[in-house]
Amino acid sequence: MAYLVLSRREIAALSLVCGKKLNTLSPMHRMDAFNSRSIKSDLKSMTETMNQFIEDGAIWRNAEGVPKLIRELQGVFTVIHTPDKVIRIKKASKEPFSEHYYVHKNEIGVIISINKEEDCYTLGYPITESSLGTWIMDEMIGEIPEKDKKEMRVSWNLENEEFELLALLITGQNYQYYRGTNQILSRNNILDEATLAYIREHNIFHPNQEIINKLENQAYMNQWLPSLDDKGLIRLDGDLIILHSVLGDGFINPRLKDIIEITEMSPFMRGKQLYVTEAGLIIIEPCMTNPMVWKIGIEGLKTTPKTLIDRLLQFGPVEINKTFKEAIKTGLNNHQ
Amino acid sequence: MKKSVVEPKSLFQLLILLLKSLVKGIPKMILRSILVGVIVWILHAYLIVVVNNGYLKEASKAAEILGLHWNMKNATMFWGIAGWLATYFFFGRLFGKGIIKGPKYFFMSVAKTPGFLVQGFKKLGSIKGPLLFFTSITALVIGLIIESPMVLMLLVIACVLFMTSRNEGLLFLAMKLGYGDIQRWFFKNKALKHFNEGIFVAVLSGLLAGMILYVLVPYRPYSVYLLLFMIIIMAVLILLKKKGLKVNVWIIGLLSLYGFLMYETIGQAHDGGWDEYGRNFSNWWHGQGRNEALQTGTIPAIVSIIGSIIGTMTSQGVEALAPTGVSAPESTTSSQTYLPTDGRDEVEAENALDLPLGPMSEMDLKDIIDQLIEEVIGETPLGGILDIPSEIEAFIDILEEVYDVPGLIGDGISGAQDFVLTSGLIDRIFETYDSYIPNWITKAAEQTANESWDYMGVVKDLLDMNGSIPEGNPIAELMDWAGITKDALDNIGLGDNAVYAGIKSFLSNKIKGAIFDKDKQPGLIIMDMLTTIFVGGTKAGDIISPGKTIQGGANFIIDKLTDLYNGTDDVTSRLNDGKYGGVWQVANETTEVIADGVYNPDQFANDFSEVVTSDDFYDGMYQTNDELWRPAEGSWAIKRAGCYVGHQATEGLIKIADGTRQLASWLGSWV
Repeated sequence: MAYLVLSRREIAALSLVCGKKLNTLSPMHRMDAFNSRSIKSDLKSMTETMNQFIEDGAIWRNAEGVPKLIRELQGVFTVIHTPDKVIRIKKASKEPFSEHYYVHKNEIGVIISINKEEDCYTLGYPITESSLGTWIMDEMIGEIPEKDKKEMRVSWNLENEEFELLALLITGQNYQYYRGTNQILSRNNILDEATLAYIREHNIFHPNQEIINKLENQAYMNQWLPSLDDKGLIRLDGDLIILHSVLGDGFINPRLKDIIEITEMSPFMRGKQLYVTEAGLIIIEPCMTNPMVWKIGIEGLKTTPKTLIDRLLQFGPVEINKTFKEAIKTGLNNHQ
Repeated sequence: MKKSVVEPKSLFQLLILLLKSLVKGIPKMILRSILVGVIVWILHAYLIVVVNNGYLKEASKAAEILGLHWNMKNATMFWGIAGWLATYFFFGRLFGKGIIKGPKYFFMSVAKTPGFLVQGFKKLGSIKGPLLFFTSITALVIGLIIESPMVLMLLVIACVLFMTSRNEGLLFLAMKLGYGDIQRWFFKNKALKHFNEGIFVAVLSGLLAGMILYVLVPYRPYSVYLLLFMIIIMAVLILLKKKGLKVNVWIIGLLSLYGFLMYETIGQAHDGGWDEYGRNFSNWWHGQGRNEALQTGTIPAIVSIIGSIIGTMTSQGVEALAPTGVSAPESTTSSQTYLPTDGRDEVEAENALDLPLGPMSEMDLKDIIDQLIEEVIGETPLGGILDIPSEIEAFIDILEEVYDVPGLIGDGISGAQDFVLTSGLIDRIFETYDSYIPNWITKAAEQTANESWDYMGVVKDLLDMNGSIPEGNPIAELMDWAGITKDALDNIGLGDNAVYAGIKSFLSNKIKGAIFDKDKQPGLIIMDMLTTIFVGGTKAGDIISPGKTIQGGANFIIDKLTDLYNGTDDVTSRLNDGKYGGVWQVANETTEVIADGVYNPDQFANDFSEVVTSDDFYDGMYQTNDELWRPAEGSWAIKRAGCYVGHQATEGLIKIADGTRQLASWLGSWV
């Protein structure tokens, strides 16, 4: 894979010279200064940048004096300007380059990385979906200790209530670990004041207190705990609530190594988060359906790049909203 | 901007392009061919009558190219090539409009040719010797086949003309494409190698040298056989690296033979013909033999017409390819990575490598910057005012078009009863119908979802990473937005579309934040504190918590106003489901007594209604809306576009709310 390292002005210059109209998905929209006013405000530096590229042989000028990209770069920027698919990959950990865009067009892919200051861009090409998997394994996930590598592949579809409860259980389980009691989470100790306070303080639905209160609702617990048990996310042993080993261990700090967000850049912006843990790779994806569904997946650390990328790039369905449905119906009625 | 031409990628494509250009230029071709045919016929008549003095003898050098019945092979070749060459030269190179045409450009090209030759030989490296030998030998063999020095002289002129066309000519392109074809056919697993200009130079130089040699030496064909033999031996010796005495002997021998041969004397021509009629046109015209003499020019004229057709085709080809496809640059990277461009996208190729236009000035850029920006960026969503109703109309029109789309997408949309799009179907839609999605939907949805995912608050609390998150890490900022995100997702679950959900979520949270500003509404803060102290942690506390309820109330207002605007009634079912929070449900079910047991909901209701019906509140809302959708310094274009849409849409809602409030206040009540 070839790499280009470019400054903001350099990528703007090459992009301008490319001459291909940006489509709505192009990550060039991501670049703040890439607009008519900014470009025109500093023609001197743009001229200098283009002349530098002319000197380097990356740009040439046709007989009419119009600058053009050499063929190789023309191909790269054609992909960047008119992609048919764009996937954003963001990494939570503090690294110089934490935001990446995989742009794809006609079997050719380019990976664009942007640094935190957004003044430096790298372009890697050509890259395919399968090599993107390798790239994610090597560059995003990195090395995980060998002893913890397992083969595992499971997935669940959770209803909203199930996911809420699972999140509370995970938070409660974390508390049992942090306070060093080595207690197993149970129907009783999840309701003790310390645990509830911890969940209240660290719950994911702040400021929505009503969900935490549901832990005290026996009917709620009697409905959704067995449901999670049936699906295999937890195991109920009398009063004890035993979480799936990866879910129970993976989120305990410092076993969680990083969080990677994979988002499809489209009007639906389907996305998922990949939690890189020493226990395994956990994928959480909210699906835009009615009622809402949460897809939870676990991939063992022995997974292959292809398996992982297939899973990461396969997004859940989208249910068309009411307005859209109405629009379609109206359109169809008018047509008929 | 000049429309670009798709550059041919193979010889076959080049041939197709030439044929297309031929078809395109048929009228021009007919005119040129007739003109050339007539000129050739007249010229031939002059040569046979005046120069050769008749058609029954070889009385001049011109006899070699005349259409005498024993000399038809040479005449056919000569006049055919002459017709082609004349057309190519005059109409393809010397005259006509075009970037690589015209006398000025032609003479400039001629002046540049020596430099091009030198550079070519330099680029070729060590294989130039063998290549020269091989092509010279080939030219000598061609000479032996053709025999006629006059025809060969024409070919020499053609070679010179091709040389002057350098890497902009058809021959160069044909050789380059042929080189690529050979690599693709026979070396499939190897990376494509760059076509070396030196090959073109060496091949033409070798052909030129061989043909000139053939024309100049006497005692043909025997002298040519001898020359060939000696050249081949010398080439073999050199190839075997037997430099030294043997090679020198052969070179000296070769030069001696050539020198000896050049001493040969040239014979004299016969007399007659034109002279027989006293060198008088009238006598000749009325004399015998006129028709026969003129008829001998028929075949030369016909073949010259055919040659002219080919010449038109090649000159049209030059015209069609210039300046874009004549010499496209290869990759400049050493790795020769080749990234094919989209077949649907036309790629404008580079002009001649040896005609670089140097650095540009700021003025140069200023002249073309608007064109570049228009081509790439065009009008941004922020550049114009969006007319959302008309966009919706346009969207409906598009849906009607989608109905006509056959296959998977059309069936999926028109046939699906539940309107659930599968992942694959969505992919297909976006692969094909990107342009069918109105920009404002795309931009706003992207913005909303971007914010949603950017600020996904799940991680921090779920993982208790408080102590371990480094300063500046984005996760640290997520928490504040968790409520918004969850609300947005919940709202999507309730059936709102992404744009509306995002607006509502942002707005309602912002309202809550504004209301909880202790400088503006100290009473509410106190009320929330009291609620927490007295009834915190109970269901009743949740019901009357201002924090919870105000946000629910804001959602209620927005939904209600949206219902009014759309003529729908989503509020009732949500209200019955308690989606807006306890007080609203309580109010709806008139069960104030329950809440009254722990607090005074009427008081709260009054406070709240005062807030949302006061002028200050709406003044604040307009201001809040401005702040809410103001993109952060340095935020990117999509976000700004989304903010613009969000701002416009929210302001529209506020205006409706404000207007409704005013109307309601006139009527003595509020919605």
